[in-house]
Amino acid sequence: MTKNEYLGIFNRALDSISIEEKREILYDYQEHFTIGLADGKTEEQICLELGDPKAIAKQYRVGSIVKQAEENKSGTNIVRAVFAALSLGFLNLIFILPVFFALIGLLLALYSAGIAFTLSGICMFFGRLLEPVFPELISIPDINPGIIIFASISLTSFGLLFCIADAYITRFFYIVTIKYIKGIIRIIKSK
Amino acid sequence: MNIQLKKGVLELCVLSMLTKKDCYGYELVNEISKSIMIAEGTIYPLLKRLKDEGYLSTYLEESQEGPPRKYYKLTEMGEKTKKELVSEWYTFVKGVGNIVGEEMTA
Repeated sequence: MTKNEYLGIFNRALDSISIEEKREILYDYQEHFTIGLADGKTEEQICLELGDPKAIAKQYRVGSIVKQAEENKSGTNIVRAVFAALSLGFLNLIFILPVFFALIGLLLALYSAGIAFTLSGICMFFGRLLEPVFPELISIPDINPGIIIFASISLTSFGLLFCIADAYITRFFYIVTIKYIKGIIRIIKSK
Repeated sequence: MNIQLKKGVLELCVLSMLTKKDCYGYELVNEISKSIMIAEGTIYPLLKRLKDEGYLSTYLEESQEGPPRKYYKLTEMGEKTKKELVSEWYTFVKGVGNIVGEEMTA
């Protein structure tokens, strides 16, 4: 393979990476070729020593996606980051997927709880108010109505606070996931 | 040598080499591959990652033989991390040595 062939494949494989990053990356490899040639090596030799350009480009692409997810927090970005990390190899799948699903499951449970509390409070409130109007449909325990109203407002407030806490927990899980993915990529040999 | 082990250790090697002096990419690749067998192309993504995370900084220096060369240099954080990694490495090597040593004499 010639230098231009190598760099051509490499450049195309870098694909979705930003122009400035691509320029910086290619500079390193151009420099490597220049010095290698001056060192007396042939283009083919250097290509062989560097290794598969597509595999190397993949490392850069994954790095770029993970960095994106770190800097711009969004649902799309974190999912892209997880899939990018998975694409590196089977071991990554074993280490990342279960953890990611566990965190999502936990979040769903927490949000469900928050919503459940809030809705219960609201239902209790309106149930108490409307019971005289629809006695056949609604049944409320025979406790001082004031207590029921107070309890329902408390429950609703608690539910809302719970949901707000969930938002913070989501953000925390997001950051933890990114750190975890970066750790796995650092340590586990991919394919 | 086990590939898994190599991956984690490469970072340590890069940081160590840069403690002695600033190097340009090819220099690092060359020196490291003298001592351990690696796919040379994987050094550059590692360098980029280390730079993005603040362990290294880069600067360009004019060279007689062509375009300016990009030199890599340890940051303070890089120095600190390197010391930690080296100490972890020696602890690890000593630990393994104990186990393997016992195996040999048993």
